[in-house]
Amino acid sequence: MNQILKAQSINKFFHEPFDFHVLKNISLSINKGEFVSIIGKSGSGKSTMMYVLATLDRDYTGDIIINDINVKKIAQNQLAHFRNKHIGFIFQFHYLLPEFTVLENVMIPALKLNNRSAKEIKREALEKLAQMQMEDFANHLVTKLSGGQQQRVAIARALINNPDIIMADEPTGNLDSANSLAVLNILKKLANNGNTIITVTHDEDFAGETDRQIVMSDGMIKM
Amino acid sequence: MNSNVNLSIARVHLLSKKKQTIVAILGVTFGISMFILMVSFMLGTNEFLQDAMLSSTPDIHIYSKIKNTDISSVTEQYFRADNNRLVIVHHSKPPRSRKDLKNSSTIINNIKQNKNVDAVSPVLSAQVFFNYGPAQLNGIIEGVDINEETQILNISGKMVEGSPANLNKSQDGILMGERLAENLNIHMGEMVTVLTGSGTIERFHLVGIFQFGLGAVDNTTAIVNIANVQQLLGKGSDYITDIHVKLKDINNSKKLAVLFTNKYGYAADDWATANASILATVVARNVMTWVVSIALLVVAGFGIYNIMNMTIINKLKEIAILKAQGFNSKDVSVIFLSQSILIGFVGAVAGIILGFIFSYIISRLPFPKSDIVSLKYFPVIFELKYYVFGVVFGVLTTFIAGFIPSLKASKSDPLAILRNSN
Repeated sequence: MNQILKAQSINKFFHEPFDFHVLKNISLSINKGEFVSIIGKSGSGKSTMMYVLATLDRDYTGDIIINDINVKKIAQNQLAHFRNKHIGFIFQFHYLLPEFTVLENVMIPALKLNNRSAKEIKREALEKLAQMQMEDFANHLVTKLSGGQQQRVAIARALINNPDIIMADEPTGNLDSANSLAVLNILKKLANNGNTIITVTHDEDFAGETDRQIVMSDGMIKM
Repeated sequence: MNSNVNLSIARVHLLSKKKQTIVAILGVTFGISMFILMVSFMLGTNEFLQDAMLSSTPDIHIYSKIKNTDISSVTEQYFRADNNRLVIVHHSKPPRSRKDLKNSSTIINNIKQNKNVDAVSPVLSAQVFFNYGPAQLNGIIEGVDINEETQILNISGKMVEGSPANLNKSQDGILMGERLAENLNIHMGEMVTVLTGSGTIERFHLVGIFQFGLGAVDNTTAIVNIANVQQLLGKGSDYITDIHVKLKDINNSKKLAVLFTNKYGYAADDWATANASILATVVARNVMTWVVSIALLVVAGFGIYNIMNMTIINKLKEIAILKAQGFNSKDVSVIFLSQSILIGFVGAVAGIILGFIFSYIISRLPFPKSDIVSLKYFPVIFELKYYVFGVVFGVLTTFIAGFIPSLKASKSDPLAILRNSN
């Protein structure tokens, strides 16, 4: 299987409020189509790890190669474009733009990427919403939706640019068990369809459903 | 397309908080409309005064000034003042001096040869009483050659009734200031008696009424043919007291006034010196207009700064998510800066429209009667350049007000925001 993401000897320090070695010489690789969960206790460095892998955090040593591109070599002002193209984000909180409709929220990253016509983007956005069973809400304002519905819209948004990797930070952390299960099933289905998903979670049942668990403890990967 | 996404996000932001957006726009609208109103009114007033001054004052006015000098006093003659003796004369009286200009025709011909001079007009003015029935008012009668004087002062353009040419038609014609005629209650074609200080009397027909708009002129002055005043005073045909000069370029008046003073030995006032008090109010009005306008716009600018700051603080999470999803710092600042510029532009355009409406209303309001100036309506000018300036200034203010918050938004670190809220 071909590697989609490779991290080599990642080290990271926090300097505030005191010097702290968060990530200790971490190397890992993730294959295309894998559904990987990063688990660990609070403070184990798992979220920090994900933000580093997601190129949001550049303050580290070591190398991260995504889709054969060393992200260190990408200029700061090109990075946003790179993320938009290659990485889809799902957060604990949906972070949808409250002034916009469901459809607009899903379309915005694609409109920004601007490699398809607006018409095509709209068609694909409706398709992604249909996958989430949210197409009926396309013209609703996101603030009118329930938490589970909002998270499903956020997943549709993460998918709109057909990213190489979907990064999910506690995607079910803010949901009740029924909605958690729904989100889990969606992610599993996406993985079965060939999407690469990296998720951070502290829900062991959730992690148990993924292809591989990376357990972190004190800034290191526990084998 | 890329910038379209930014702009459509900005548009949605503005439209989703209509009340806040409208308040911000109204701040700019109010500032700009007040600016337009003030500029239009203040500069209209200035223009009116300037026009009134230039119509009623010659570029250079040459006359004989009563000199108070001790040079030829008796002190030296009788007390032989020298370095060892100091002689002080308290309260010396002015010497007997002639009011008229000697060699007037030579001076006039000489001035006419100056290449900067456009027209020269001899004037004989005298303090007189105007009698009409029981009404008696003191004032000034100016004897002129009306054909020359109309080249220098814009009398024709300031006539309320009759015309200056009427003086040519009748031997005993008189033109009167509008307020002077009103105070005497005299009407066109009626006779007025003019009485000099030395007791001579002459009767004139009222053939025209002028209104320069300045009380100092309209309340006191009457214009007749110069021969009538010479006859009234019992003087010959070369007896004149003043010379009015019009220049080709009014900006030379100060320089030439000094030249004429030195050359002919008589006082020569340029129009600016003669109207120094009015010109001082012009400067005061200009300063006030700009200070108040800028203050209004700065206040509007602070309002926008506040609103943008609040908006950005409320939207930090959304900014973080936009940044995670492919919007770079420049896009984020475009999103927020375009909002404040749009507020500025819409506000400024509404402001000039409102300002125009206000100015128009004011220009139709009757001006209260006063002794200082006489005007039908409030003086207002409508000049495109101030409207353009208003829009530019409004957009510029909001640009500056929006720039700092936008910069803050573009520099916000998405990581810190995402991590803190998890």
